[in-house]
Amino acid sequence: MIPLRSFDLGLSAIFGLLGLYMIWQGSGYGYQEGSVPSAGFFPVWIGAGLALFSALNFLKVIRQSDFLGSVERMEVVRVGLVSLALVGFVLLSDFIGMLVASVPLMIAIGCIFGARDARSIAAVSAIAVGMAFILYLVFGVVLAIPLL
Amino acid sequence: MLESWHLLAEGLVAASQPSVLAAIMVGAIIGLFIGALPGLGPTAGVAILLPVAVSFDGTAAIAALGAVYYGAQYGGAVTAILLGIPGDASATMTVIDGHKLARNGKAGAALGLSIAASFIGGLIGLILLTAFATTIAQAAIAFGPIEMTALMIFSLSLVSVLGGRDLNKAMMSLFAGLFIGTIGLDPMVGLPRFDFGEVRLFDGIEFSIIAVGLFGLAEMYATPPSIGKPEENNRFRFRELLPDVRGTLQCWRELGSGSLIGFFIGILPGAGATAATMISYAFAKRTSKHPERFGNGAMEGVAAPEAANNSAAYGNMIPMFALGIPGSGTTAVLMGGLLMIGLQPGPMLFQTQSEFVWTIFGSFYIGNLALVAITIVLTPVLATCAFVRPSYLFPAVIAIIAFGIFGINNSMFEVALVIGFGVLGYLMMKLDYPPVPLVLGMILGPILERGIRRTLVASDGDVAVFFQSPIALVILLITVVLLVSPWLFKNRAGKEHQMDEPQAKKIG
Repeated sequence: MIPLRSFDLGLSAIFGLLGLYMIWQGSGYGYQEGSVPSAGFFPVWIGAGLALFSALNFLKVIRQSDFLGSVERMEVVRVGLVSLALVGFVLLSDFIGMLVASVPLMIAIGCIFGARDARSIAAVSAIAVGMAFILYLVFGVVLAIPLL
Repeated sequence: MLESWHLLAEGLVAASQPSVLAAIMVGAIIGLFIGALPGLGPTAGVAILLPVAVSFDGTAAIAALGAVYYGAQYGGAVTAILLGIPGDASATMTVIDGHKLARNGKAGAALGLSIAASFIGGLIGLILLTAFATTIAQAAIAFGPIEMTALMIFSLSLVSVLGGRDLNKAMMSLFAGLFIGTIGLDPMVGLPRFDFGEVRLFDGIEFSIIAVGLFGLAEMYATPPSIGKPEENNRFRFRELLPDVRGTLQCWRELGSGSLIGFFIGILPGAGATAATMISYAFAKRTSKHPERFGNGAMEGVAAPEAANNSAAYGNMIPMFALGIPGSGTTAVLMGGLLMIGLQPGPMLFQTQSEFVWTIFGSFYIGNLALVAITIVLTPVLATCAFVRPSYLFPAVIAIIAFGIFGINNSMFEVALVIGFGVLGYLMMKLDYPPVPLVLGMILGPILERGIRRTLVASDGDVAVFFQSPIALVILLITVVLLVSPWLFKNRAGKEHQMDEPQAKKIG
């Protein structure tokens, strides 16, 4: 089990820093031109709000140490693996094309979500091939999208 | 009022065109399956299909997305009744009595009743939507840019009710959405903002990328792989799945009360279908002659929440269509769909795109009626679908997501962005950050920024202009009350709790 507290602190810190970056960058765009607001007006206020609420949440999480509970390690691993599979699909598509790349993507995702034995993997593979054909028909033929 | 019904009749004729009819049927069937399949709800379903649907003609696209929404409300009851797992949050109350009925060999009676309740709730919701939407939109036409800006501020303040348990996190989510809304070229002077040196961000981030990541991928990530495995006592014979007409007719009171409660709760931004089902269930139990049957397999316990959640779906559409305020996650995604096809929801939509609006409303009537037949025919298949494992379902859904997102702008960069937003959505879900305020901020932020800046340019920077319009002033005052009230209630509840503690100690 992984405690969620560290994730919350991390997300609050990232959002807080993003807020500060918005204020800094927004000021660079120009806050006001004469008496009317400029391109940086809205970002400065949003950044301030984001930084303020992120700081408040950061402090709150620090004070309430065990309030958030935890998440199963396998679930986090699953999120990471699906994301990696998708990144692999994005990279592979340039070389072997989207339709071909989608087959290993689907088989990988099936395995990540529990297809472990030979029968399940065979079923997922069949679904993947069938689905690739359907995707070709829908996106390539009906919608005429130029697939990679 | 009569004009509305005349326009609706024209809308029904327009919605009967083959292309729109096909979109309704496809959307309704997909929605049914999305509702029945464990791990996907209406918001995720509409979000996943958004990039695919917008590739079609505008009217057909929204008719299909709407059909996915109300189709999922029908389908959600299937997993709730047969598996005891609500397909989406609004089917939670259906589990209580519906699953008990299924376990007592009355799965068909419960499923049949849920279909009838969904239809009646949907029909009453639609009739009220037709009656109210134009009236509200006509009243809102009096709104100028100042009033509309105040209305946008009010809409954003809805995070206090849409934001779940932690207002602080809701505000963070809202501001993160507002930030995403600023990415791209500045709407007034054309200066690129927050593009991080990436030319592909000049047009901003496509709405469907956020919706698919936050609602679609995140929901799948959080689904345990064990879901969908059938238990021995969750298998049914076909005969058990046939509807029970007599039992349905006996619940007329709960069907009526559930539909009305659902609609009016649905209109309230943030309240949504789930709250409507809870209130209608509680009302049905309180007014029942046999309240002891509730929780032990009462037919009325299925009728009331099922009528309510379908009626609420249409109630929810009133603020979106008439005012341009999405009151729930699903309507926020639907509103994103309208924006993607170049339409701005709000009072002017009824003036400038009257034919479109009434065709969509007509398509809702057709879809609601068609769903009765489709659901009855597909119930045995849907019952089987409830046991589809994520290892078979999710690969196909994720592939559709990848191809759908690529198809919007023929860009793999956007597929990469979806991966990031999927992880962000998962983190937000686990850490109890509500995603709806983020979507709200992303949709309404640019409109608000344009409104504020244009008004201030016109008034030469005089902020007092926002307080000179009585309508804007009232809206802004309501906004302040809405924002301050959660803190006030929280402090008051805290003080009462502190006062109660010594008394409790004394009693103890």
